[in-house]
Amino acid sequence: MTAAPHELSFVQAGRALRSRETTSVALTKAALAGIDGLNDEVHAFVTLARERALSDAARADEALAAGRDKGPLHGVPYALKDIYATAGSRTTCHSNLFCDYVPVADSAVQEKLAAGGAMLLGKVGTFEFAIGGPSFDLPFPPARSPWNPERFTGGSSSESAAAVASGMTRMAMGSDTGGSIRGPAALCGIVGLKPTYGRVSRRGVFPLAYSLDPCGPLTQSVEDAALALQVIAGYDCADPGSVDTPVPDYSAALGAGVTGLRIGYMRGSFVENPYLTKEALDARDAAARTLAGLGARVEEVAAPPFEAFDACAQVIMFAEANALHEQDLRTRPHAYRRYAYQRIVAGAVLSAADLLQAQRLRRELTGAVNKLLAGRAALSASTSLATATPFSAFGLDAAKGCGMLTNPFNVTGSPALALPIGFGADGLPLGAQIVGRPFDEATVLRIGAAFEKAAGVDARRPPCFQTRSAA
Amino acid sequence: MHTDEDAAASRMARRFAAAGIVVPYDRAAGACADAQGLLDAVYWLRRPREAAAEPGHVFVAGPPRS
Repeated sequence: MTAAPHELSFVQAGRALRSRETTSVALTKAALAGIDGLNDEVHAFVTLARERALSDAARADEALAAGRDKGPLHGVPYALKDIYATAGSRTTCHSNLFCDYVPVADSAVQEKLAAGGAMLLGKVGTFEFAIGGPSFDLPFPPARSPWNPERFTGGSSSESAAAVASGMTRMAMGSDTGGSIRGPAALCGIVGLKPTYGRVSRRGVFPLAYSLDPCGPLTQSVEDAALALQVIAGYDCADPGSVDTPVPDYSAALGAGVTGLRIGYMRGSFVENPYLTKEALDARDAAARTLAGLGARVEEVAAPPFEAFDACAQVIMFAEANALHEQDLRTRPHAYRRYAYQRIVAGAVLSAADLLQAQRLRRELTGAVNKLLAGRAALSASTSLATATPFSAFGLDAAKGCGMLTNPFNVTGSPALALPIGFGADGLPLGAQIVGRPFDEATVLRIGAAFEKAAGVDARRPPCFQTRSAA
Repeated sequence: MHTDEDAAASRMARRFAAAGIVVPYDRAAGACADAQGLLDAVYWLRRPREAAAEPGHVFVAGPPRS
């Protein structure tokens, strides 16, 4: 084993664990040391489970030694966004309202990861209740980009992305109501997978909008995302949105390439967007050419206007979020910080007819996207339209405006894989997403893996990651 | 003298009040801006469409399904 512990993929770590070149305790100690060295700079972790992680790691080592192999994540550390319930450990939702909340049961995802032999390092922060913006008036400071601490990290799973990009952990769980996995993945230069709505149980995960929320992993590579999904996917009757459908082997086709696959390029959906920079457009076009060069049949396709998807997503999200928080918004408005309050309370001005019209439009838009996917393996779409915005761009009352085209696929519930496609002149990452047919994450991952290998952008890491590698 | 902005803020305050919400003064500007953004978005939801154009094909047979 020549690579540093934080550089090991899940497959490499698993191989090293099973050949006794390393131990889970060693991997966990290395991860904790990385967090100790970086967290004051990156602001990712809000709660560390140091003792628990080390004791779980010791048990994982004992289990492997005894021949009890729990699967692809056995012995590797991970982190959870602080909206995932963890029994006996606080789950704050990054809000003053939940600062002292200690759940009595684990979320379904935590149960599965623990049963799979992985070690919880701790909880990473989020926007308050996974909405709002990078607020400086919350119990914990917002994440700083490992690429440049003055830049925004892209959405409510910002801390998950910052933890992964900086090398504190190989995988952190996020949630993605309007792009909160894929946006941070794009701006932090890592991989983020939003599985199909219903693929991963949300039991024990604090909701933002019931009909839009999925749970998914942020990782350093497509292969790691596939292995993480393998462990967390599956039906759960306790989640009303969960779908009872078979879970395939997500790693099986990762190396199959894209030769002959038809991929629709949704270029028209973003090319006129005012937030789009030339370098982002160039990177998107280059990514399409890379897929074509690998043998895919890439063809431009026309989707309904982004504004229709965006309106649909916003109305549903804020109507649902407002319903969830209505009582607290009325009785203790100042318990919420500014961004979360003003965004969630805005949903109060919507009418029942507005919400139902949005649901009506949702069916039409979902039908339109599924029609584009008929006969095609996937769609290639944009995530970020530029590199990360400076924190200074966020005003007192404005938490929006960073140009992210992710919420169309929350409206449709489609699986979507965000991955880095290049870098801007400022040295910051640019991203794109591969969107698939419902429950066809395997094809999305297959295309992502082929692109990742060909483009090689996953090899470029932030300065703090490289510093640890050199140490 | 009242301005258009005052009138717009007053209209929005009435919408919030109808929902049982009194927006604190120090949060009003941001809350009203976000609420206005949502109301602007509603434009996209209201395309000319008769009741029978329901996308779930509740009222008409619609295209055949496999």
